[in-house]
Amino acid sequence: MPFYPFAEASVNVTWYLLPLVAVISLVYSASRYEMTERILHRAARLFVTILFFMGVVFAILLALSFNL
Amino acid sequence: MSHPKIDLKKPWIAATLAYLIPGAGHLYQRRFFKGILYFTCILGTFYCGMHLGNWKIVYLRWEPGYKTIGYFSQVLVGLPALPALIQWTRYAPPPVDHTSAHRRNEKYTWINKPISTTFDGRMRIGDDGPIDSISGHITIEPVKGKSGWDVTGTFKGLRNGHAQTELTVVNLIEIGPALFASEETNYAQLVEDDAIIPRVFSSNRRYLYCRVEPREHQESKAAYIEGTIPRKLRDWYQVPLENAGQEDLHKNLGKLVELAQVFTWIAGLLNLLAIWDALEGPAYGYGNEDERQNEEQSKSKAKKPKSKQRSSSNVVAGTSAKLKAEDSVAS
Repeated sequence: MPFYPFAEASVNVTWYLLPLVAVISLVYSASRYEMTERILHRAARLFVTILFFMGVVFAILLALSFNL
Repeated sequence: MSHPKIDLKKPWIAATLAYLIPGAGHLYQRRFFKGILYFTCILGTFYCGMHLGNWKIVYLRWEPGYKTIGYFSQVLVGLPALPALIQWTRYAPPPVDHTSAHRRNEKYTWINKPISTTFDGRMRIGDDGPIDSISGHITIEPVKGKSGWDVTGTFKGLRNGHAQTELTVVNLIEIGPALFASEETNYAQLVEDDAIIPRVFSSNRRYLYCRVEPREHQESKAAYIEGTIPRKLRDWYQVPLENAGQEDLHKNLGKLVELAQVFTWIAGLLNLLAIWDALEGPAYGYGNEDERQNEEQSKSKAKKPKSKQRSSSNVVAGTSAKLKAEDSVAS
């Protein structure tokens, strides 16, 4: 019988976006700069920025779907 | 072009290494932080996606009506996604006509080389005897008979968990394909009359149904065994997934299938950035350009007061010279 651990865990799919955004921020920043501190600093900023815009989009969609 | 502050060594070698194993190119260039970062982030994302999708997310299928375009993003991860290319070539080409549409899903009645492995399943003696569970070791091999090739062999193991049983395999009725991503392995033959047969899919198990003869019985009575034998990793990993296997995956995982695909696609695209970084260096520069600019500005600021002093002294000198000249004219 196949085992599907993630399906059984029933975690909201949205939470998987956090590590994904973190990885994207780190790799993107690392491809822009060479200095470690600079990479980490820019990655942190990018992470927050992406989350902020995702939050804005989420809020807009939530408002549009209100009472639907 | 070599970056002025970073020794990129041989960029093309670094880029190739970066493609094959994310981060390897940077380690070759002795850029250890970036190498470890790329290795961890890209491979972590890729294998996380694979795990989310029950290891059936990365494969190449290219046939009319079904093309895995996303594989071209996944393959950018390099070696971890390249087995899919080999498996695609190993897998049988797609059927062309409608009559053989499910040719690959069919089970076989022959084998071309001996199999000696563990077996788990059921057994029934006679057409209406009780169904017992059996587990043990089975050996089957193709032998040339009078009317062609037959399959014979032996089974040794336990019946119902305790009774030692030895069987002679006299005929192979059905066996699952050797190379398959997700095979349906329902026990459909040895069931009670009113039993509901659930659909069971498995990657690492292969269906087997044989006619056997129990050795302990004096009179030969028809008996059957039905069960599964292991399938090797290399025979299911990244093998093209058939429609039935996909349906099973979607049924069990739901939205996670799409999420898993996104993880593997993004991992491939991120490695493209890493490859470019290994080839050309960082896109915006070393990262301390602002500091340098600030230093230069502060230096120039530090120099400016002197020049001002100089200019003011010049002005003062100029005015005094003017005054002197006026005095001389007046006198």
